Amino acid sequence: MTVTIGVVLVSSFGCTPTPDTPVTLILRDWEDDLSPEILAAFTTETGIQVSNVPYTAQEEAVAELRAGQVCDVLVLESQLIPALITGGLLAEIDYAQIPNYKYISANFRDMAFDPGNAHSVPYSWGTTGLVVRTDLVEAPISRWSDLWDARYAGKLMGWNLHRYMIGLTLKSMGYSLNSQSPDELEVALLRLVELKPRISLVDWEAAVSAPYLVNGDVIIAVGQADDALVGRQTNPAITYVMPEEGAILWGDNFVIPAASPHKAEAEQFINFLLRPEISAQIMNETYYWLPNDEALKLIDPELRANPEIFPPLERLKNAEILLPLNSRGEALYADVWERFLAAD
Amino acid sequence: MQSSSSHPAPPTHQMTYSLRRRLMLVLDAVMTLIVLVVGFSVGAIVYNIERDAWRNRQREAATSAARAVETFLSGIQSHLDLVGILDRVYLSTHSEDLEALLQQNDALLEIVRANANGDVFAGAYRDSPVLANLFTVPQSTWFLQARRGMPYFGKVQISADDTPYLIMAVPTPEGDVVAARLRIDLLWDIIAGVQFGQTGHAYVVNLEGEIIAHPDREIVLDYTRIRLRPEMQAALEAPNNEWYGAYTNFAGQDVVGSTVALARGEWIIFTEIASAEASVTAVRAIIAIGGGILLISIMLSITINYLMKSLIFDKLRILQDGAAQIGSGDLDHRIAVPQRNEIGQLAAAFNEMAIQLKERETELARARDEAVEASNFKSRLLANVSHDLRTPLNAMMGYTEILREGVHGTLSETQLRISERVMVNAKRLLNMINSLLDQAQIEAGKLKLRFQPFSPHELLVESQTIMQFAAEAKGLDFMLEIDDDLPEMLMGDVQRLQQIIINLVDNAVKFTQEGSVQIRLFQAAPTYWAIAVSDSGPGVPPEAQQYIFEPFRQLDGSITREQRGVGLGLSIVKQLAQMMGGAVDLQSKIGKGSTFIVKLPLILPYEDTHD
Repeated sequence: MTVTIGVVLVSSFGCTPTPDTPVTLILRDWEDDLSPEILAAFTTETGIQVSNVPYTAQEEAVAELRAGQVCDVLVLESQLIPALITGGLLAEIDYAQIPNYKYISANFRDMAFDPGNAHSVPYSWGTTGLVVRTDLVEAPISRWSDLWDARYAGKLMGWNLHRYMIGLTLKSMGYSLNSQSPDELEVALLRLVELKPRISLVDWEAAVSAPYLVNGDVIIAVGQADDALVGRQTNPAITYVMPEEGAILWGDNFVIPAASPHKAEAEQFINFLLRPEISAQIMNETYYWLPNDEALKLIDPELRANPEIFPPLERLKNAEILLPLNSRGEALYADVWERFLAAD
Repeated sequence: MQSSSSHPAPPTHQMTYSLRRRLMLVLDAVMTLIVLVVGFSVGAIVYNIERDAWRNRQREAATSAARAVETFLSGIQSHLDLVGILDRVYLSTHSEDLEALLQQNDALLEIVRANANGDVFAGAYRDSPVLANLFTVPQSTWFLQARRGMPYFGKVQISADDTPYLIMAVPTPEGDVVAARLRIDLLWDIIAGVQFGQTGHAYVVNLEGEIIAHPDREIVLDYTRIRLRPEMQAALEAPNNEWYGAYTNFAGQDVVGSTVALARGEWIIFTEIASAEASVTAVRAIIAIGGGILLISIMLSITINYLMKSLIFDKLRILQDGAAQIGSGDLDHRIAVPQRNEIGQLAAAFNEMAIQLKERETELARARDEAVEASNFKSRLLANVSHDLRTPLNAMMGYTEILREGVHGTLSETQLRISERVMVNAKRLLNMINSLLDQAQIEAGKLKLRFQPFSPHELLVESQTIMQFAAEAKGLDFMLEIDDDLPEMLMGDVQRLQQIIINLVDNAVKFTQEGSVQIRLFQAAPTYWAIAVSDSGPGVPPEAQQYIFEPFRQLDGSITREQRGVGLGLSIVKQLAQMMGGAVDLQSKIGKGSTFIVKLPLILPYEDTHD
């Protein structure tokens, strides 16, 4: 009898956290994405703590995940997800725990990178195009090809992301954003190398280009709608342009690593964020477009009317999403990027 | 032999096991075995029959459900195919045709056609242009799969207003894609309509194990998945996805289920019926038949028990009791088992035996009475005859004495001697007659002792006077001894004590050729005194020590041989001693002589105790 009591006592002090021990979810996201207020609201409601361990680049987070780092919720772009799915690194989502999924727009359900959304829940979407100082340009900027306009050499900014830079080059030549044709890539490399001395590449950050646009060092930058929004707070001439060849459509998704010890709490967190009021709040704060049909009705009406953040349908129809490459394609792109970086 | 009027209860011997109980146990065991075997056999047979019947019924229901679903889907697909066949240009300019098509099937919420680039160029809708407004068509799974040439069935999607829908897409001959949004609740109605028996129902599952349709809407709305469940695995592995088995389903119910694949191969239909219902007939059969057999066997058991009891064991009991009764002495008892069977025969034999015993007893009683009669007669005869014998003898002795006293003239020497011999022999004869009389009296129980105070010392002196002459005549020393601690006066029958001493001394003198004869009186114990007569004769052999005390027995075992005397001396001593409350003991060794010790209770005269 005493042995039984002893065993029960010992096991209750054991490793697995009991309901009394507060659970802390480890979130991996961009630095200034989800505001602390939102995280605090979740904690108040459920008692579950959320701790953001930010990354500077999503590839870095993926590498760390593969290396065995444990986290509970990860924000990743769509094209990074298929490899993780085939690698068995992502948990299957139990939608019985995420009934708010019903608010997700039909546009973002059941997409090729994750059929049936078995392993990912759409978080935010957006387009990448050009952010322009309209008061400093000679003529209206409307195409990716405008980057190659010699008049703006040295006043260009791009991202240190190979898929985006190679992709926009392909787009500017009328090819597919996700082309894996060695010929097309060769041509793209040549064109990109042309751009190299004229453009400065930076690591991506939210609204990273805004300050440079504001002080005029940069006239045309590769960027997103929020770059323009932030910049416009200082200089009203900064606008976001969706290139005619087709903007780059990107999407960030929530995934739960298979190794997460708090899968149920992670799903609870995701469900919380999908709540229309919460999603609306996130949209109001980050100027990102969360594909939550109900939340769209609740956001700041001025924001809702902003065509940079919520572009019209026709403009979206030729936007192309970054799709994952096969291994041969990955190698091709890596090679292209290497040669681009090595070139002078 | 003692015979009392109330017979004691017959002794009951402990039975180590009861025959009756054993028989009953065996009988019950066999009955139980029969019930179990028959019950289970019947149950098993009925169960299997029922199972097969349900299996067929289920397969029918599943097949008909599959057909209904397929009809539902093929109806939709035919519409989609039609849209796919129509010319592109025509379609994009004649949207009213699409409208009309939409109205023909209630399940269609929207229908669109997109070109290979993912541009939707034609469409019609009932609620809202969801598919038409998609800008992510080129990235959508339905578009990409259909464009590859494979028809696509989506999983159930739930929209913001909780309406469930499903996207279906088919390729067109020209490489386009026609897609439709379907109202899935119509499919749910079809599935909910599949009922058989009381608990039979069906549900649809896609190959990922996601439940597409179920009579309970909530189960689908909860995104219930059964992919990892054993029944799903079995259905996936079975050829044609056709499987049948008993299991516990995802809702925790014990069911018997069967699966059928849709001809299109995308969905699997489960039909289930509660296990309890699937075996209800078997259970009833087991209960009915088993119960019936149980009842019959109980009745049979009771009947056999009753018959055995009344025909065998009760009679056996009567036999048992009766035999015990007779055995304990009641020979008049008759065992009342009148049946003309084995037990009856046994009882009759017992009764016969009792009769025999009774006769024997009567005979023995008669023989005993005769013996007693004879003995009494003998005693009486002895007493009478002895008396008659004594009278003339006394007369002879009297007259001889007169002669010897010289009353009628002095006798010569020779005459004196002759007359002395006459006297001696007469006395001897008298002694013998007296002994016979004493023996008869003692045997008849007529001898009476007269207790009076006497002096042991005087007793001894008297004995000496009587016996000394005889002893010395044979040349034997005659010694007398009396212990000091012997009281001066005792109670006793002096005459009989004298007789004892005389008999013993007479015996001693008779059998001793040389040596001595000694009489000793002493206190043997606090309450006993003794007369010990010892001789230095040849001794008495051990085997003779028993019978010399018997009447008419002499030392050599013969009866009244040529030795003097009648052989009663020692017997009278013994009987007198016993009558006085004492006993006689003989200590003798061959060649060493004999000592007869008569132990008698030491009774002090009344006056002496109050000194």
